Amino acid sequence: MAMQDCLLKIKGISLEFSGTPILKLVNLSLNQGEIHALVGENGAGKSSLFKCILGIISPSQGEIIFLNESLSGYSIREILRKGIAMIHQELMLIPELTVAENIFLGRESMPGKRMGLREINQATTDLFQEYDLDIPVGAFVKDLSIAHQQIIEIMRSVSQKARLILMDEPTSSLTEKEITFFKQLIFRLKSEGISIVFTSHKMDEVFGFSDKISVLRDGEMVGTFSKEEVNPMSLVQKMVGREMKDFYPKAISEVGESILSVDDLSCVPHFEHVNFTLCVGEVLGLSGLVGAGRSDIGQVLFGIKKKTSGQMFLKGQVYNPENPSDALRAGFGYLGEDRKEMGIIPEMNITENMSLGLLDAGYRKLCFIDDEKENSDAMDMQGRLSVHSAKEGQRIQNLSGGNQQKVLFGRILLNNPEVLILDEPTRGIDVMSKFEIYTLILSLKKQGKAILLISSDLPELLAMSDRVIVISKGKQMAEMTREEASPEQVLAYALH
Amino acid sequence: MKELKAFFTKSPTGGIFLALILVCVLFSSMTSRFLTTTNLSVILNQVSVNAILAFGVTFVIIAGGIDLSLGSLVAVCGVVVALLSQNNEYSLWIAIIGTLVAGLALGALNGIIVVLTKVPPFIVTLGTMTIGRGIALILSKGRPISDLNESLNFLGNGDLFGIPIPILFLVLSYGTCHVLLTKTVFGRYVKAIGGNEMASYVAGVRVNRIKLYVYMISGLFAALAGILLTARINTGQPNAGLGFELDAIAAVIIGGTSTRGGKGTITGTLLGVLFIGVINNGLDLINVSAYWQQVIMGGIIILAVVLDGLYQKLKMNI
Repeated sequence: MAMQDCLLKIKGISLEFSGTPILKLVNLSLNQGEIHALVGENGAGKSSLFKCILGIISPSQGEIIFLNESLSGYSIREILRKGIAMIHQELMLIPELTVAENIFLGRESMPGKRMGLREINQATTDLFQEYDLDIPVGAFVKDLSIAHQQIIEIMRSVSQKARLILMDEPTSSLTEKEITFFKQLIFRLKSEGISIVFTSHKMDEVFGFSDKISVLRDGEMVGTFSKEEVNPMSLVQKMVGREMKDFYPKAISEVGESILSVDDLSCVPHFEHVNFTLCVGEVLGLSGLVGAGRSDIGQVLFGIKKKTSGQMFLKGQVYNPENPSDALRAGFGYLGEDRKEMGIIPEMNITENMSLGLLDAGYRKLCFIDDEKENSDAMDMQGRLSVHSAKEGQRIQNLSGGNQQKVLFGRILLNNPEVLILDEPTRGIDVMSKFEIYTLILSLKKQGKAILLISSDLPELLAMSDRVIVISKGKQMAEMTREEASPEQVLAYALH
Repeated sequence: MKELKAFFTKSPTGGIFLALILVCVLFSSMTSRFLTTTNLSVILNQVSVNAILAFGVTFVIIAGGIDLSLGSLVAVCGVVVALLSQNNEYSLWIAIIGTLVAGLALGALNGIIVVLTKVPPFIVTLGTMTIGRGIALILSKGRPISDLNESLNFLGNGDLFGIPIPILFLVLSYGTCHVLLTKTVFGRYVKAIGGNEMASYVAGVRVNRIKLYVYMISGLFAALAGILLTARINTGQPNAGLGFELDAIAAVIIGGTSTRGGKGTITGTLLGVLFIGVINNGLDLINVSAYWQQVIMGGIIILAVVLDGLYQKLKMNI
């Protein structure tokens, strides 16, 4: 390999945080125009590695060489100017500014030239034309979809002449269609000689996008592989360090009689005329693009949104929850789409987060909290769901995504619900936790819970569900059994 | 020793406690008049009104709100208790209970507007602050109300077993609020709402009801503060309580309660109140002019919060 082809070389970097090793002698090298996937469980050290490259934290030993120059001692600003950019999971745009203003933010007056609004708009239009992007440069960022916002961040890096773009789970909030576009865009960047390192938990992207794949496990680099050397199964094994027989666990259990039926349910403008029944011991999958109305169906069932017409029946009785408390009392459990927004109370510990839904009904003595019962129930649940925490009383915000999600499952299960609505139960969590959650869902199904599973992860949805309903633009397009449903077919209906 | 270290490093109030000890040591070294039983009792007596207000508003701030109407509520309730205990027309009990009910009702007004209109509490209570001041002036016709019931005076200036009554109220309020916040379902809900309102709602917490309650608590304690203030000066003053809300909120924040909500303690608030009280008292004792006292006080408030931030960071690495 010629020397000038090598863009980035990480030589044996180690990092410690208050005594705990985060990265151990990590090596990585990257060529120009290479797309490199960085995989590993949450907590394996992926984000720490990114932070080291960007100069946000400095490693305790080792060296990072970018374009034949060591980056040690440079500030974040200087490193950015050398051509390294990062696209964070939470986008860093200013919603109240326009697309063009965001792209040139902080660079309106460069030495020697000042860019007025007209120049900025023109430069952005030229840039977008070059990349065949159809986004109005004068639109406010707040009015754009997440996918477009992400593209704008990428374009900002491109306009800053970035040679290397680091992306932290870039596709986690994109729909299938948007991911296809995203893929075209990064291949375009590659052809311009820009290198990309991205993290992802989705195997089809890891294999679909990248030239090379590096695996981190517990802060150590397991190795860098070409696509031909590994397959999804062997890659997962390398990530978790042990063998997993089948990624989606299987369990055969009987589906019982109907418990919930939804009759011509509408919640304008989100969805209209939805009909289905859900049975005891059944997993019913709800598929569709983000924004198609699937999450809204779950929210109406749980009393978060109000229906506009139609009816719901629970065990033959009319069911019409005014708010989530009604739904909880009726025997519903709900896991929201966005853990941070609708799930965790960040400052509270595991126990407090678990018991929150049941304080009134289960842990109240007069107006006081029954500590003993609360703690013992929460500890039991924590053991049952194998929630891993470093120390007792740890705040939930310091847990990994997978463990946070397990705590939220604990909150639901303490209430002993009959019907569970699970909206994206495995979004943004590591492979091992995903596997545990699948196993949990199947055991709940076996216990006779009725489960409505909403997911953007099509392989997951098809593997877990007994039946699948496809929603597109608020309309029910199809209902299929597991045997009838193929990914192509479901996607065809979803894109309809 | 280990427990002591744990208190300073683990407890959220360790930092402010340390600061309080430091200023006490500082003032004791500067004047012999500081560390005497009489002076300490004077400090507690002086801070009692601010403490009671601060305890109440701690709930509002932890729930993610703010109550700027406190000072005006003190004035309204101070006038109400004065009117009810003028010329021995009603018994003291009726005057007190009537005033507490008035405080609850005014607090409920704040809460209802916040919950129903979704207007930020800063704006709502800024409005009710002005409304409250107006009501106090209307009720009193703009004049101080005197000739109050003798027994009311006792509440402000008397003592029980040698302990001044306002200090007893301070201790009682502290205990009640501390238990309410840490041991009850309500207290847990207050923290949950401040931590993540949407998540609490989805988990089944009746968010609106809890929000209403926190403003009612704030109103109730403002009424108690108003009663004590009127009793102490033996007149109902429609202009009383000007700026009290700022002292109370400052104490809450110095005491480590997050302005973004979700976390805070009543003990922290008490320490914050004492911190402000000790500094005011100490500066008086060493003859710093009242004008300079304000400048110093403001600086110290900012410094305390900055230092606490640094301290919290430091703690993470221990």
